Amino acid sequence: MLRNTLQQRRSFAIATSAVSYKRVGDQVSSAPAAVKSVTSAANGVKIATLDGRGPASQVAVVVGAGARHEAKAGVAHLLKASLIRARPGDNVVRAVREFELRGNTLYTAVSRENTLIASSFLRDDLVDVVPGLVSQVFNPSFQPYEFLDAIPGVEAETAASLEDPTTRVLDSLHSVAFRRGLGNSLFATPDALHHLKRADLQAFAASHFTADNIAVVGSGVAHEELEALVNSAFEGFSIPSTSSASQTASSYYGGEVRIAGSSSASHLAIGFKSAAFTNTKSYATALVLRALLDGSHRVKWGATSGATGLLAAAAAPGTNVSAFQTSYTDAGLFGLHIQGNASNVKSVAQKSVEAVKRAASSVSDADLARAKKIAIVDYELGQSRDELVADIARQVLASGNFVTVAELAAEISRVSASEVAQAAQALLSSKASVVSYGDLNKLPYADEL
Amino acid sequence: MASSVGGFAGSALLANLRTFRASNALTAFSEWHASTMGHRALGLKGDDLIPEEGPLVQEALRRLSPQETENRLFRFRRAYALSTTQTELAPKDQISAAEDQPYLRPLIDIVEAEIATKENFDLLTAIPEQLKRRNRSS
Repeated sequence: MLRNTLQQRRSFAIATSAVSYKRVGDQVSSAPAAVKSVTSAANGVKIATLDGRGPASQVAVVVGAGARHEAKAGVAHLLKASLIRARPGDNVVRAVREFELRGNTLYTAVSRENTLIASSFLRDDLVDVVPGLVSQVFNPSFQPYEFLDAIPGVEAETAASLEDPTTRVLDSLHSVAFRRGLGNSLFATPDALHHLKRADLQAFAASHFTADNIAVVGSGVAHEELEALVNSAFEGFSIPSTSSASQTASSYYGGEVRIAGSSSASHLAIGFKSAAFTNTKSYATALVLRALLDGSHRVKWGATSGATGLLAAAAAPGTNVSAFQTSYTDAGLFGLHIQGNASNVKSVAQKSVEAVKRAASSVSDADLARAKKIAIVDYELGQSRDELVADIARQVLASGNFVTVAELAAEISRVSASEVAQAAQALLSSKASVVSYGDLNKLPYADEL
Repeated sequence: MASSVGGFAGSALLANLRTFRASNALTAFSEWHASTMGHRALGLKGDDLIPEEGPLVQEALRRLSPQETENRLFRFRRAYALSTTQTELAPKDQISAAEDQPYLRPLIDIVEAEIATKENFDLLTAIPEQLKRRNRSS
């Protein structure tokens, strides 16, 4: 009798689908593979989940409208700041405290192409999170004081963000490279905020918050449950099925901007036209090229062993250079970012551009093998839980499906040396976008590189 | 919560009180009372008489739209000028019953509800049991 009760049951079975998976009982010895599902809700809203079957979950309601789509500057940023409001007949304190009560988070974010409201929570709280998020997005109530109260926060956010030279340089690089659309600043300036009215935000929401432009994305949630909850949460709202706003394709221009700034640390960003994330093949190639070039240290201590990218040789003491790749629905930006001592920046930039040219002529197998590993590791490391849902959402909104880390890793491992060299040649054939920030007396002009 | 104290929630007394409050007789009395108070003759609305000292009303005043705040200050200045000269507005300029709508009271109610909600949530030390059992996810 006693032996019976003490007897432990062990099971190492790894379930193959979310439905058959039972969390009750022993922990499985290895993490089961994540299940990917994409469907549509009854009203046409896309639902995508990547269920890793862990206890921590994340759900985001993502609208495919961001800084790129704004008719008046700053609308997207201000809308993000005022997305959490009091619902009719209720107050905002309850909206926030209901999330807090369970230790769930509630946040909004805006990017160049998406606005999202999301929550991270423990798996069991899905029931409360989904209606909470949906009712915030489609909240018909918008009091004048809620609009006015959001403005000082946005002003402070803009000031704090643009205070950071890296953020400022990257924002300017986008405006140089794409001018309008993707070139719109993510940050609402005080002047832009002064000219915005509540009606501008409502017009922006009315034209973009449509069923075909919204995705509900979950990580670590059962797909069927999320689908049922989304369907019931949308019951009370009649939302237009297709967006009336016309989307203009983005085009790449290139050019130069010079910003005077603190002389203590100068920045130089060089951008080239690159791949959109919707083309998985060329996106994977661009990621490998970035990893091949990137000169930032991969080991925290030990300068000699840390940096192995082709750009590492270009860096000088006190001046380092890194490579970045940002991709959007129909365009991408590959860039070199040099920061440090203003007097070194010119020589480092020239050597960096030489390094890109060398990569365009030939790529050695050893470098390629290393770059592929770095590309996979960096992509997976970049996918924190917040980033993961945002990344799934933008893919689902663009193409109706998404590529998991494993699928992208498989694509990356198929990239050949000649494809990387071709991608580098394609970069160099576009007109460079150059942003310099800092001591302008010493920083080079674009035509000097 | 308050309506259920002492089992009053569905009582006949409470129902009678509710019908009495909505009755024409009481509305007519309240209208007569408001018109004899004298604030309309000085160009003031009923909500202008709410004492503004204290954090609750101050927060509600902060939430008024800039236009409302300006109109309110104008009414105050006009009323002050009238009272120094011991006069009233001409009957056609006085605040009519239709104009005398609550503009501050709804905001005070919102602020009060926010404070009450915050206090209720602060009193919770754990998630209520019935809520815990409701949530089981596969």
